[in-house]
Amino acid sequence: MKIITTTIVALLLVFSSSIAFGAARSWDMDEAHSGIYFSIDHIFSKVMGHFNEFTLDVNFDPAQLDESSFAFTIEVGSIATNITKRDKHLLSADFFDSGKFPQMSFVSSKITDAGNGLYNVTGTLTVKDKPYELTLPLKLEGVKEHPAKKGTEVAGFNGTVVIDRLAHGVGGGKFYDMGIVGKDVEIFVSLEVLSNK
Amino acid sequence: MNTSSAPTTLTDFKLAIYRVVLGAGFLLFLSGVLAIPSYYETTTLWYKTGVDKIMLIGGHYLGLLGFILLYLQIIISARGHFLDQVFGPAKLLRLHRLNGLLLFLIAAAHILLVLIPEGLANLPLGRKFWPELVGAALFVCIVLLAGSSHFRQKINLPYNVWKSFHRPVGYLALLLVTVHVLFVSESFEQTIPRIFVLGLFTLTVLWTVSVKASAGRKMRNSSK
Repeated sequence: MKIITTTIVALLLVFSSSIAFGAARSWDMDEAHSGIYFSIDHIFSKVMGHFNEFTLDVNFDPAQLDESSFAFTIEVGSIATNITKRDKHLLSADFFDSGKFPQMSFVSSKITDAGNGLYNVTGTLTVKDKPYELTLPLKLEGVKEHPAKKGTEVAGFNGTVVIDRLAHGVGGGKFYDMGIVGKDVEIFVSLEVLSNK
Repeated sequence: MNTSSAPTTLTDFKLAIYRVVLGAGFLLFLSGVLAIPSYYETTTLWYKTGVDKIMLIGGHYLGLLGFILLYLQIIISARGHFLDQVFGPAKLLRLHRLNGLLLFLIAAAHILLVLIPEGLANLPLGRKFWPELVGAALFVCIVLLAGSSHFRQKINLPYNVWKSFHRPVGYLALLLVTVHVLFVSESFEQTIPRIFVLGLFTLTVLWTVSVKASAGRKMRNSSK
């Protein structure tokens, strides 16, 4: 009897502590409906691309922003701009040098509510193994039951940020100086994340 | 290659003329083919400067030279009555061996010259780089063909074993080089270079099949 009582008390303690100090709600990325896209100037036009492979760990609850977090890991080799030769050039030492630096990451350290559903996700962007501080503004588009999957809730986020690729070591500036490839990269993040109700 | 029976029905003068015409024709053909990358320029070169650009251009030309020499290798190995008469089987065999070694060296130099400008750490691996991977498979074939021929006696490789794979792997190399050139290079995405490659492939296959069929007929007739 004593053993049973001790076990119940221990379980209650564990349960109550997870409520008091637990992380925000955990979400799984819907890979088919999430993407990291980019756009960069090429002389006069804009070249669009995206990263086919990335992982995302999301813990998010608007009422628990201190416990919320986003962590992206991007496989550089999955870059796709619709032209294989260009992808190969982007992976070369002229830009990402993917053989030496196969991954980029963004790990949040602080999320603040900017109002109107906008959340500023501040964290560390790691490019070519060097850390840079970045704030990614993400708009929470909504949370609702998934129309195609009962018992599951879907949340959507969209956000855009512009970063200077030269300041992040992506290219040495040769193509920028030649007036071919711009330095400002517009990054568009679009996410759908799922969680059981 | 069978080196027996050197036909000697042509006069020495005619032989010399044929050799000069064939040699000159080949060089003219080769210079025409090597003009393709400068006429149908690949945009990859736009984004390379300095030494990288020189290496990449060199790599492209060597690749194209290797492509033509591989076709020449198949034609030489098929031989046929006409080539036997003009050059003689022994000379064709020497040319075949020399060309094989040259092909290996050119292929190795081509690979280094096209990969170094992109950085050797950034090898084009993955499904979307399949034309480059076809090139890698081709290089394996060339190494196998040249290595097994050059070192056959040193490694005690029986002649029958060597012969059983030498010809099929040679034909596989012809197919791989054709696919590699057609899909790896922007220059060959253009209509005329594409038609040229497909035409060359078709003619070489027809030539080889007709020579082999003719040789087969002769063997059957002589055994009757």
